[in-house]
Amino acid sequence: MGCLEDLLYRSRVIAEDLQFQGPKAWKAAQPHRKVLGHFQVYFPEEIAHAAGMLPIKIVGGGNKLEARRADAHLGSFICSIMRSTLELGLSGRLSFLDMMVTHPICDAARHLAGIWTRTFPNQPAQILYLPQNPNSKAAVKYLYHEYQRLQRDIEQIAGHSISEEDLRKSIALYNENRSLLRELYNLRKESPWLLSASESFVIVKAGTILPKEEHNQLLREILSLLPERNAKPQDKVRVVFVGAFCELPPIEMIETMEEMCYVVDDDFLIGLRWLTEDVSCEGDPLWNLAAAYIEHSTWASTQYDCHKPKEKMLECQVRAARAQGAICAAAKFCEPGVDDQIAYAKHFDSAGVSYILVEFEEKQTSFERLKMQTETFAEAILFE
Amino acid sequence: MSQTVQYSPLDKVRSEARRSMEAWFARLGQAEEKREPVANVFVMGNCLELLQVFDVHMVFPEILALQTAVRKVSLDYIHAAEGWGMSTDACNYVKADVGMALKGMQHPGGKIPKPSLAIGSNICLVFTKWAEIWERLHKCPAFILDIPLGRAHSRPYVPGSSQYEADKEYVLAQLWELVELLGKITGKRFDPTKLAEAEAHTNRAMNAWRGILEINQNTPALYDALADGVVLLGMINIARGTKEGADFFEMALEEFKRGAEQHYGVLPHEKFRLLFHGVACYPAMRRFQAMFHGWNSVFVTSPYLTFACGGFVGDFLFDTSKPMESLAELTLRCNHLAHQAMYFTDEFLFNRALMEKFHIDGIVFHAVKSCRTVSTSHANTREFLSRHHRLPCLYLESDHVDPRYFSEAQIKNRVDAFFEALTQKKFHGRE
Repeated sequence: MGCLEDLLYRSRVIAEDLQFQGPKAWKAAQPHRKVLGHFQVYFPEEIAHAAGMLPIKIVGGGNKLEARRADAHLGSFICSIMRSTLELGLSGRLSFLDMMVTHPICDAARHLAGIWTRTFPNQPAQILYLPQNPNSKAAVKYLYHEYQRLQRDIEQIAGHSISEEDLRKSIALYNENRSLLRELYNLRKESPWLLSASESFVIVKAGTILPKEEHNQLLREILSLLPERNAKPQDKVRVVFVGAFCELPPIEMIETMEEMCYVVDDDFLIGLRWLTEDVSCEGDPLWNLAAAYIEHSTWASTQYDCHKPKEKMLECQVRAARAQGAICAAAKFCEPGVDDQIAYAKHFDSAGVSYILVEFEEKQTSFERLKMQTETFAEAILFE
Repeated sequence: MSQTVQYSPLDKVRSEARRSMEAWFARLGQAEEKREPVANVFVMGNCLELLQVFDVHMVFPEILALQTAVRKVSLDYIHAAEGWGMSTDACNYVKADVGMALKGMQHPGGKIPKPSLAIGSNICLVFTKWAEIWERLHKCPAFILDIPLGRAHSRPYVPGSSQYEADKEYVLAQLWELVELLGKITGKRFDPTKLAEAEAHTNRAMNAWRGILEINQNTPALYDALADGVVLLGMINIARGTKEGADFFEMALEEFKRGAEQHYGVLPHEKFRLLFHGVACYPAMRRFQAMFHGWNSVFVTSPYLTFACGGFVGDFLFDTSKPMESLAELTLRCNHLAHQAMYFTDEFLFNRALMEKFHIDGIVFHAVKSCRTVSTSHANTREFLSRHHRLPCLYLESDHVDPRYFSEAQIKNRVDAFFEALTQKKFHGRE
């Protein structure tokens, strides 16, 4: 076991690795190994893992990648994460992928599989249709069939079939991962001075490309060391950050907010925490995964659910985290994000929840305006 | 070379369409007063035939929004929505609609009733976000019809396959749930005979609609698929599933056939035949069109005429002996077909048969800033088609509602450069 600072440094190195050295090394270790890339937000990684593949989450390139080639392929009104994801492909960084799966989470991302097919014809790309009517009684059954279809496609790439036992083992592994992530987030809510949001962010982000077994080990080690960390509470405002369900804020942006605030809850990489309870390992594992997506899941701007109005879900999240306000962000050109910002604002005006609206881009490098916004916001709360 | 003739098939088509549109507005104007149920629906994934069974008025906010642009008042509505807090990056159809709600549902065409129900779909994610906005603004229930679309490029989607049957079962189950909701809202019972009647009207309209799309293979083209196409699109939406709609499209087809017999051409000296991909530039329809007509070019076909009518253009017809199942099947297959052409664009566009049948010289992509559903693939497809298939392509950006994004001089420069190159290629064999 390393020391906490070493583990945090390692997490950051992995999280910022735009060369995907880890997945490439994993693949090169054995000749039959395959890697599946999937775009934001949620993907049932268990199915790929059960096939012996390494599922990795493709989350754009952040502010260290210049989208020089991708600009010729996308209009000026397309968000940064689409642009940088395509740039990752065009620059050859993702040439090791054996399969790419995207989701119609928004009207830009729904084109990604088509763009990928045209641009990288040797990498099979497809769309996974997660239900947009989870309120239908038929949604679980539909998703079960969709997962069966996906499983068949994955088996074809992997070159062998997946047994129910394989799937149960993978579900158990991922249950542990989700449980550890819940523990990490609970710790932040209880003792935010022990782990900052930016540190938490890189720890979770490392899980986008690490094999789950390794990520679980990393999480276990970090969680065992955190209670002993030499840190004291500061007089900071407790806030919840929302709006990063797909495009991720630059780490410097999170650090800027943290100068004045404890970000005690957020939706960074929410897809990795989409399932809120353990998935049952009894019975049909694929059915259990489908049922969990519908029945035991969180919320995001990209998913309609009449039982989960976004503004009320966020208010519950703010109150559950004992937060004093919310930073309601939206990525530039992100329609689900900008549409929900207005819902939060109107609702919070009447519900008496303090908030600010923020726009960001993953490629952003200047945070002066944000700094001024959060300082004013935090001071307004502190002197209320 | 076309002959100059006095007769134009478009005269009757346009005047009948205008009359129908006015009647639609008049019905909407009375709906609230009569306390009749109203549903907000979209031009894709809308189950119009089912709504007719329950005598529900249909409001098409996309059509209303584009009309504000055509009538040059969209910016007033957009400003109202932005003043209310909506982002400059949000879809301008939505902003025009929200602006209308903030202005007391006053539209240039008349007073629009508030919805009793909002029917969104996954086909455009903005539809679901828009439905959420209506839930909050109008306090009406929203129903999201989830239609699984194409999963991958060139993947067959055939009845009987496990994927197809699973998708159909899901759509059918949702339609029955919608029937239950409509029964609650209207107090009426579901009548399968009435649904079959509506579907029979749609079958007639669709047969004629297909004929109209195909007849523009004629040289010279009988109508402009953009400027005249949007008139036809309006009708296929507001009158689908009705006898009036079926009669209109059969009349229109007859008019175009008559026009073809008389060697009518929408342009007197047709020189270039183009395919238009995207949504129309409604804030500057005439100026946009004039840039192309000025070069004696005509848009002979467009996927816009496919997806914006819900895709009812394949070889599909309702089986009126099993109306609900058939509705599920066509909703699925038609939207699947229409959207395959949008997301896996090259599969549709690089179709030699299509290009040859319509004698297409080039493709124009009109990317709309606030419509990522239609526009996201444009630049990539342009790059793909130009590079791999040497198809002349022009890529333009503006908006479908917001005039602030229409930069006339910039667009004209690009259009002129495109035609100069196209002239060299077509008439001088130079690339």
